[in-house]
Amino acid sequence: MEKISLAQIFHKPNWRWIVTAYCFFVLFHIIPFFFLPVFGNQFFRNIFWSRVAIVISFLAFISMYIGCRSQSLTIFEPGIAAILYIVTLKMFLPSFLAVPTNLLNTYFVLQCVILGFVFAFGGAGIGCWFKRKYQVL
Amino acid sequence: MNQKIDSTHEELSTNKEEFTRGFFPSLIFLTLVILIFVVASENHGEWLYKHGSRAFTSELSFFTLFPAIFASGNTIANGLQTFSGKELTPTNLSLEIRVLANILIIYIIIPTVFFFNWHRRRIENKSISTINSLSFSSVIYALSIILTLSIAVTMTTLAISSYQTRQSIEHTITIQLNENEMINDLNLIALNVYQYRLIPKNLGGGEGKYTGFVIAPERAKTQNGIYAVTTSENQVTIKAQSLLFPSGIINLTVNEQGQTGDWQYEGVFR
Repeated sequence: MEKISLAQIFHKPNWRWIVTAYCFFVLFHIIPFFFLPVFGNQFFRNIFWSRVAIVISFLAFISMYIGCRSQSLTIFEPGIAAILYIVTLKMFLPSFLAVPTNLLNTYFVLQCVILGFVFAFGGAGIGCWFKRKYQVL
Repeated sequence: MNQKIDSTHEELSTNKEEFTRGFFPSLIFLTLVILIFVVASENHGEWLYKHGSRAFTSELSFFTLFPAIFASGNTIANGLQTFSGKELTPTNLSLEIRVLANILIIYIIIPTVFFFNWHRRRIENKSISTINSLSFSSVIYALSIILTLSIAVTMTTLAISSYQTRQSIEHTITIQLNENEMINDLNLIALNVYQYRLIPKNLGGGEGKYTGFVIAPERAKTQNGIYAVTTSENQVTIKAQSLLFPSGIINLTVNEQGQTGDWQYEGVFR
C-alpha cells in the first residue's frame, strides 16, 4: 500500500463529492432523527453534548462510507460538507443540536464546526484506508 | 510532483463512472425537498405565531410524531375532558388526516420501498457494495433500510417500555388496593378491640381494659392479610402482614379512647 502525501489529501476538492456528502448528511442524519422521536429531541433534550456527539458520529460514519465508496482519494470533501452541514443546522434547525439557546452562540458553533470537520475528515480517512487495504472497489 | 499527483488523481477518478446519469439532479432535488420540508415543519408553529395565527401555535408538528403518539395525545385530552366534566369533542378532520398520512408513510410506504428494493436486488443478485456507480436508487434503498430498521427498533422499544410501564402500574395498583383493604380490616379490628373494652366482663368484654382480647379467627386471617394483636391494659398494638406481598407490613396502636394512631408501613407499603 503506497503512502499518501498531504498534497494528495488536500488536492483540488471534487465538488461532486462535496455535494454528495452534504446530501448524504441531510438524508441519512436529518430524516431518521426527524421521523423518530425516540432518538430525537425527547430523548436527548437534557443531556448536554450527547446530541452533538451523535450528530458528529453520524458525520464520521457517513464520511467513512464516502471515503470507502469513492474511487478517488476523497478525504477533504466530507470535511467541507460537514462544515456546510453544521452551518445549515445552526441556521435552520438549531433544535437538532439540542443545546440550550443561551449556549448556542458563535463560539459553540465554531467548536461544532471544527469537531464536525475533524470527525468527517477522520471518518473519510479511515474509509479510504479501508478501501486501499482491502481493495473494496 | 504536482503533475504526478494530478495525473494519479485523474486516472483514479476517470477510471470508472462514479455516479450514474441523473444521480446529481435527483439527489439535490430530494435533499432540497427534505430540507425545506423539515425546516418548514420545525418552524411552522413559530411562523404561524409571527403571522398572527396564534390559535395554531400549540398544534403538533405534522410529521415529527408517530401515529401512536397522536392517539396517546388524544386519549389524554379525552381523559382530561371527562375528568373536568366536559363533553368529549369529536376528533377533527385535520388530526385524522395527519394520522392517516403518518400511518401511510411510516408503516406502508417506507417498508414497501425497502422490501421492493430488497426483492429486486435479490433477483438481480447485487448489493449496494457491489454496484460501482453510485445511483439514486441505491441512495433511496439505503434510506429505506435505515428508516425501516429505525422504525422497527423504535416500535420494539416502545412496545417493551409500554409493556413494562403497564406492568409497573398494575403492580402499584394491586399493592395500593391490598393496602387499602388491609387498612379497612385493621379499622374493623380496632373497632372490635374498643367494643371489647367497653363491654362488661359478664358479657364477655374487658370492662375498661384491653387485656384478654382475642382476635376472632375470621378477622385474624382474611384474603388480604394476617393480623395479630398484642394487648396491654390501656393500649393495643395490631400488626398486619399482607398475604399477597409478604414484605408489606402495617403496625398501629389503639389508645384508651379507641383511637388508632402511630401507623407504620413497612416493605412494599412504605
